[in-house]
Amino acid sequence: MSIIQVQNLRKLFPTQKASLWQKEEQFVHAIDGVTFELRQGEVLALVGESGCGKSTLALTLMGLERATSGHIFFKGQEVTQGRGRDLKQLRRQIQMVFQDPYESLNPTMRIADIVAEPLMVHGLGGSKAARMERVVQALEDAGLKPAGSFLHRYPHELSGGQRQRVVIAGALVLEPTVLLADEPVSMLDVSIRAEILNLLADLRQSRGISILFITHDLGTVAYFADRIAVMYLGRIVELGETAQILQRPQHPYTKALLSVMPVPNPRLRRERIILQGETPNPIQLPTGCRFHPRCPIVQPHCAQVDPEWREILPAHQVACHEAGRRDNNE
Amino acid sequence: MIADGVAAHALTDISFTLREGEVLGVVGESGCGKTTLMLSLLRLLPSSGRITSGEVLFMGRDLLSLSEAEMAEVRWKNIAMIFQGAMNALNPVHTIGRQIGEAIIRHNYVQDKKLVDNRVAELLEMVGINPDRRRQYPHQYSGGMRQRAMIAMALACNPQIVIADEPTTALDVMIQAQILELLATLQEKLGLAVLFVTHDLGVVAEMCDSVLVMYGGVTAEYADVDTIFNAPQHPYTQELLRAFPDLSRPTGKLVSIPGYPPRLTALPPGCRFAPRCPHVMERCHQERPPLHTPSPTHLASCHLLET
Repeated sequence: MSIIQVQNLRKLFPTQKASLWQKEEQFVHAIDGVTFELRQGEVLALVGESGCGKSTLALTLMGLERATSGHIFFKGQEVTQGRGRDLKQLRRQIQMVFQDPYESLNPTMRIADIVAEPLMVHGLGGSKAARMERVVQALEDAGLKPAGSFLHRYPHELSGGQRQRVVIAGALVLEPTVLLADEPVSMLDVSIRAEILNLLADLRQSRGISILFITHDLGTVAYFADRIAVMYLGRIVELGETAQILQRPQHPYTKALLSVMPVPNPRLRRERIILQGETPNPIQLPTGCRFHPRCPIVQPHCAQVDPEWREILPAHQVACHEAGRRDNNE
Repeated sequence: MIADGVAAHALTDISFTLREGEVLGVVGESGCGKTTLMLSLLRLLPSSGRITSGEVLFMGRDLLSLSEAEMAEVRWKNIAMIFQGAMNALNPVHTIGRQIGEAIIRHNYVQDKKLVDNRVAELLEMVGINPDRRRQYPHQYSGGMRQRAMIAMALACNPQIVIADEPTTALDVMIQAQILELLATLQEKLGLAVLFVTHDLGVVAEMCDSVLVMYGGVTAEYADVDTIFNAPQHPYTQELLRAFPDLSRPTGKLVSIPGYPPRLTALPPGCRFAPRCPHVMERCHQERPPLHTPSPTHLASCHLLET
């Protein structure tokens, strides 16, 4: 069952006009036709390099950015252009875990107040005592035990990993059905990343929360996600189950990304596909397939025709003309 | 080169040797003293920091006993540095060409204006930037190009040693791959010795010949890259490897190390890893382990290695 369904979503940001004479307004194509679903209780990883639109997508799902066109359904109900009370209701269900626990906690507030704030905003939790009870529960669920010893402390007294747990507690206190986690471990030391990932995995297990996990790091995703969606320049170019994507990637961009992930094994010498240049600017998108200027297997028609989103293997979709052709597969 | 520094508990008894043309990885988590170590080698510590004992031998000469003027000669001409975060390390109001030229003139590599300009063009070409772009400003460069410019700047005076402090940390994977490839090519072509500071074990495995693993300001383990990854002796190295995602075997389980790295102001007595160590024994909490040598080229500071 799908919790969130996204259909052909687009989000364009207008740019400043280049000059007085340039009449035509230009747009940054941050998200440009994205379709996917987030299923009940799954972890879907959204992987891509900076500027591919993955964070804008999260903000649009939260209703913090308004979609230019397309549809977002939450539990079957369209929420794309929700406003006011509807939107607030939606945000209670969809909570976000931000990247940097050093910047997303107010340094002047105590942990108890930070975690209680969402309850206040939504007018939940009843009496002060009842509210505190929910705060304690959320802190313990986030692995801060005993919660009592954290309630009256300030963020600066906590380590990075503990802070990220406070951020997660703040999201959990509303008992959401969906967590949008935007690079939740990239600011943490390697030795404590796994514990935060394991915490998220447990929450999914115990509460059936669905997680959209946004990251640039295919390495962490491999251990954690059920499915992977790879984004490039505002669009999902490949989507499939984690093992499928990692072992049988079909899109040349996915293949390249996987090939350059550093592997902690000095005996393994792999062939790396290093794409030259950088992601083109999202104002003037390339014609045809947006990946064609950097694609190692580009064909003449790629510059003309935008590839359609097709199922190449069961439950495995890709947007590429050449993917799956015999001569391109080893 | 041998460094052996003790500076207000930030670093204690660190020793290593960097050979000609070698790439040595320095690995550790935040606060383990990696950056302090690099700054000590160049004697660029902030004024509050002091090196209280030890020596830094560069081709037999102790850098710590040089005068400030002599040290200034060594910097950039012999030992140069690629800083972390190219965005902040470049001056936004000067052109890239001028900033690289400044490094050349400052260190008296060449003086003639025309020659400086030629050298800047040559350096940019070497790092894969069109020399015509030397008249542009940092904001006109992308993140990857700024990092390339930083590399060009480090190579300006043809150093023997380059210290690279997390040179790819803030970059996307594809740009990181481009920069690593560039560094590897230049290292080989110019015969550079490189001190590569990073927290990314994957990068270490791909780039380095030997590895120094640091924890809480001390050496945890020091050996060639194959030993570190395939026969690590220190529990910290072993646990760090288990905590690091490995795409080549994603079926394993990621393990975290309980607790968090020690703060340098509150170091545990005895072994600094003891509070987080899975094999901790009574004596680890009291006695600091000496550096054991499981093999002549392998150092590890752990009581378990006592025979």
